[in-house]
Amino acid sequence: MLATRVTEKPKLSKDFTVCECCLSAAALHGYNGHQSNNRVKKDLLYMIRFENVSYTYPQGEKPAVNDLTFELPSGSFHFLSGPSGAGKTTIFKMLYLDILPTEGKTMLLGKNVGNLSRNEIALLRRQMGIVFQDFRLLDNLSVRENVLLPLTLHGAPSAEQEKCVDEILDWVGLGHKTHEQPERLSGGEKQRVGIARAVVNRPKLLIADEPTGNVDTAMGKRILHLFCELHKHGTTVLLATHDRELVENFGFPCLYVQDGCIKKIIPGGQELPKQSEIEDAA
Amino acid sequence: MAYKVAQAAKKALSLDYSGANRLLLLMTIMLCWLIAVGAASITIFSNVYQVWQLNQQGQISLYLLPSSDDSEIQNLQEKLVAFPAVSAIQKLDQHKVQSLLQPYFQTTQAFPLPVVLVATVKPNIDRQKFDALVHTLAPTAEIDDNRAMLQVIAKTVNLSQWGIFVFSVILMGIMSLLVILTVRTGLREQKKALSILQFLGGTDAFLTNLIVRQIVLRSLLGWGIALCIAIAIVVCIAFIWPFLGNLLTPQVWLVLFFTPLLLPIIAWVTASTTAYSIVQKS
Repeated sequence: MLATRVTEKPKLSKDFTVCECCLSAAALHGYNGHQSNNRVKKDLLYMIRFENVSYTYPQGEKPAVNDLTFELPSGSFHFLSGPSGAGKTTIFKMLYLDILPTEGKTMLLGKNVGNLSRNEIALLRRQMGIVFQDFRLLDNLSVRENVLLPLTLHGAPSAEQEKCVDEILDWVGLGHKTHEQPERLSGGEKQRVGIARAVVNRPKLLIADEPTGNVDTAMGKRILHLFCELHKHGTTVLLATHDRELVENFGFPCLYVQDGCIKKIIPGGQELPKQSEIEDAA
Repeated sequence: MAYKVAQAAKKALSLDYSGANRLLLLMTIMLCWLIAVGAASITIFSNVYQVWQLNQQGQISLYLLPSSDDSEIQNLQEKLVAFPAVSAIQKLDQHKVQSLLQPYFQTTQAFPLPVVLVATVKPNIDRQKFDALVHTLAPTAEIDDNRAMLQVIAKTVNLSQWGIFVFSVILMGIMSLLVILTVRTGLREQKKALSILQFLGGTDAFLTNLIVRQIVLRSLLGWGIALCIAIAIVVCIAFIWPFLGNLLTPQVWLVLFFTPLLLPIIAWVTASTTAYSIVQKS
């Protein structure tokens, strides 16, 4: 097993290096560098932190995720790639707290998810944006209502909500389809509605499971540009994809997963390894 | 706008698509109507019974032989008026006695009429001493003792009240079952919406509230419709039979309005517990 630390580690005093957006994220969590110990600083500065995490499905014989250790700093953008059945979806399920690890410790937005109550899990999810491969839109709601949903859980002021929804829908290029039902949209449009819904409450962490899986290459690139824009505003993004071209072209680091653990960290702009190369390295 | 936003969440987890929800409305109307009319009828019956019981307890009839002479009757009247707790004593005229006895002697008009004295008494009368005094003064006199009959009727009334209580419990049970059925089938059909709302950060309390609101509003609607029907029927009855109109006291109207409210309260409690347990398990 390969214990992994992402190369874009922020710097803080003697132990860490930190970029501006990471510091602001830390400030959001109430971090005070003079009072906290390094362990606390570390938890706050990393949006995602997996420590020796394993997960075995109830009927599974071997773990889907095996002794996984990695950290993603605040404000970073990473791809998660790997062959089918490598454990990407299980990792994502753990990230959006659909399942909890059978072993190890998961920290999300500075919180140990193992100690959270159901209510706290729900509140934590409100700080995250989740984009699903199968969109998960509600067909009985219009595009606008689907995007409004996360805001209704927040209780934000209504005028602000309307404005925010209009802005987001324009941003994803669906300003003219706000009253359409999702079933009448194309795959790319549905995915953009899913993205709009995920970002409407300005999440600190955005996780996207194969958001380009059901769209053509051009639409895939367009969706990726939307994620890049969010990243520029300080959102931490983790994006799972099979698409080698996208990973190689967009120049963000990639966590390469195989057999339930991260086999390799590929720095931004480099080519993804071929399957045989990974096996040889292992 | 706030209404619109709330609508999105409500619409997402709407139970309107469930057939059981329509059944709930129909059954609530039926059960509320049954309870409203039943409770109002029982109140009227109870009021009538109480008045009748007071009349029965407040009067004692004495039957003397037709051959009794006036001095004997006069003496009896004087002595009985002086007896503690006797307010008045009145001798019924022969026409009235005849009309009272007529139903029992339909075949002949020629029968000797007894002398009937009616004593108006207070509830604290000592019946044993009163009876002893009557038998001393007029050994052949028959005293109309309706205590046994009153007890029988009181038992019957008690029994009917218990019957109504049991019937009400059965109705409440039916209502609870209907609500459980509606919530279960509704949430089964909305499983996808429930899971999406949970991933967006909906807390158990928020999601439960969305369901409970719908059930309570629907049962209140059922209560309102049932009440309108019940009032219309009662007003029609009072119009057709004016003597029944006199029995419609404010107490009857209060019972008519508020007793069926028990069903929305039961619906609220049942929906809260059922929805919460399903949301928690999902």
